[in-house]
Amino acid sequence: MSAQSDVERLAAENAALQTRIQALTKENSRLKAPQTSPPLPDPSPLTAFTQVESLNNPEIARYSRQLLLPEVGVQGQLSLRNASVLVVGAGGLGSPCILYLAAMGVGKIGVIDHDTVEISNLQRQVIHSESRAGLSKARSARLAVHELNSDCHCIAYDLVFDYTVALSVAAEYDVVVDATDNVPTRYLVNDTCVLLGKPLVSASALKLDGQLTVYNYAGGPCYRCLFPVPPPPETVTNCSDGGVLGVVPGILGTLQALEVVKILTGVKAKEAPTLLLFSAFSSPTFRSIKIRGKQAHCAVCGTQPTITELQDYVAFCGSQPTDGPVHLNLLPAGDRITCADYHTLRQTGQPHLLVDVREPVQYDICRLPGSLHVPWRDFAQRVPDILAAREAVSHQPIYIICRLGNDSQEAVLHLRERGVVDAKDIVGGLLEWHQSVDPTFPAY
Amino acid sequence: MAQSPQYKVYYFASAREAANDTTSESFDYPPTCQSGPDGSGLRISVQEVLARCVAKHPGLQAVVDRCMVALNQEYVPQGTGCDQVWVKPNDEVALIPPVSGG
Ligand SMILES: [Zn+2]
Repeated sequence: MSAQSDVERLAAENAALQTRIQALTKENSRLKAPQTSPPLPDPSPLTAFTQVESLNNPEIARYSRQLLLPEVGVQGQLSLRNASVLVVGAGGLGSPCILYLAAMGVGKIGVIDHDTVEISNLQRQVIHSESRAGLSKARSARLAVHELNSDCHCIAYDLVFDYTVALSVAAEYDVVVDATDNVPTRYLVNDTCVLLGKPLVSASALKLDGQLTVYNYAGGPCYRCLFPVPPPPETVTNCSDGGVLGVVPGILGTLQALEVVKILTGVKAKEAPTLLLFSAFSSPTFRSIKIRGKQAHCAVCGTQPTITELQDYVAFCGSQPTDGPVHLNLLPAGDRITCADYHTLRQTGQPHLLVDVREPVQYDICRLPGSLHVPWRDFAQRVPDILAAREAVSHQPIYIICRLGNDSQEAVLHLRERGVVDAKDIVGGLLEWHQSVDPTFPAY
Repeated sequence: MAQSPQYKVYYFASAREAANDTTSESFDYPPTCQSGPDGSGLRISVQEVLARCVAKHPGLQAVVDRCMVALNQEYVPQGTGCDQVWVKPNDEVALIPPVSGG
């Protein structure tokens, strides 16, 4: 690694740490402050957002291509100019959505996100840039909006959209865009919109698939009407585990901006509610599913709602409000080995069998020399291969590695069930190997 | 030779993975469904369609309850009355789990 890229990496790390310190300092003073009303973020407004009666000449020149469309015209453009839209999440979906809302002339845009910009975000989160790595995504998005359209009144909320701030923040806006990346926040955004009576433009994207629906609008259903029970956490894949093709959230986020325009110009109210499905590599690429109106028995928007205030969404969904890696703890410490200890064992040449249980696409990216590759999905069928390979090293212990140290624990448990007792998993997997043993080993 | 009557199932997102990366597949009607000598009036409930999908792909067990189900591009609420919604030959059933990434 060159000295220059080291410097850049350290500068980015420093910026990220500074942001983290600021966030923790803020959180610390918030916790110390007497609890009166829910703390509101520092929205750093320039001036108060005010609505106007008519477009001025620079606006007429700037938005002329839209003014020429009979479907938009002066009235439609004025509706955009006087509207406020909250975008929850400045990631893959939020990036194009925020940019297009600002470009098309939406008067006030709120952006709420607690993450910081990382280089691995940039293949899909096109509102951010290399130079803003380490900066909060909300503030980075605001900078991009002001570069694009300095008339846009953009407010950056550098905080977690959780139940303590959801109602007070969303109440300030006409339309809410769900551009989040996790299950608990999707239910929180939905319930917030139902309780406040705000239309919700919701989309999601993962791997090569996406979905788009407008919820809680013109008699249509809410998210809970369609998905009353959250998926079991172990079946939920996130972008950092499953991957995502950059343009897929780009397409869905762009469609969200379109739906916002249709709501603000009044076109959407005449359409029957649909769920749009996008599958990048399937034919047809788009499918539209007709959905029904709100469900009478829905827990939040039904005739006798049981949810009348925001709740603990992390407990409800059994998962964290983040798309970051999850670290499971399935085995006692004695059945595990740290990366440092395994490193020593390799250096001293102790005979053993290393089994790597990652998917083939991940094994192609990087691997430790001498490992046997048995993907977790084929593991049960291939236990005989593992036992045969271990006989080739004179019945020595088995060490199992994966990317994060979760599947490797499952694999050890599976071997236990089949009577193999001298297998251990390597704690934290190859990501930990990169962090604590070999920084030149690729991290992904 | 005329093909035997079939219905088709589409799997989306995590349902596709749980169904061994199957995008769509056609099913014959079980023999118990034969109603007339010419196959007319042939039908199977959405509930039974789902059960047959799970029987074929056990991995679907964990996701099927949380899926939105559509029959011919139209939403069918799961649970109540799902055993009274009928799938006829050439109908399309879709299993649509929520996608949550972004
Ligand atoms: Zn509802």
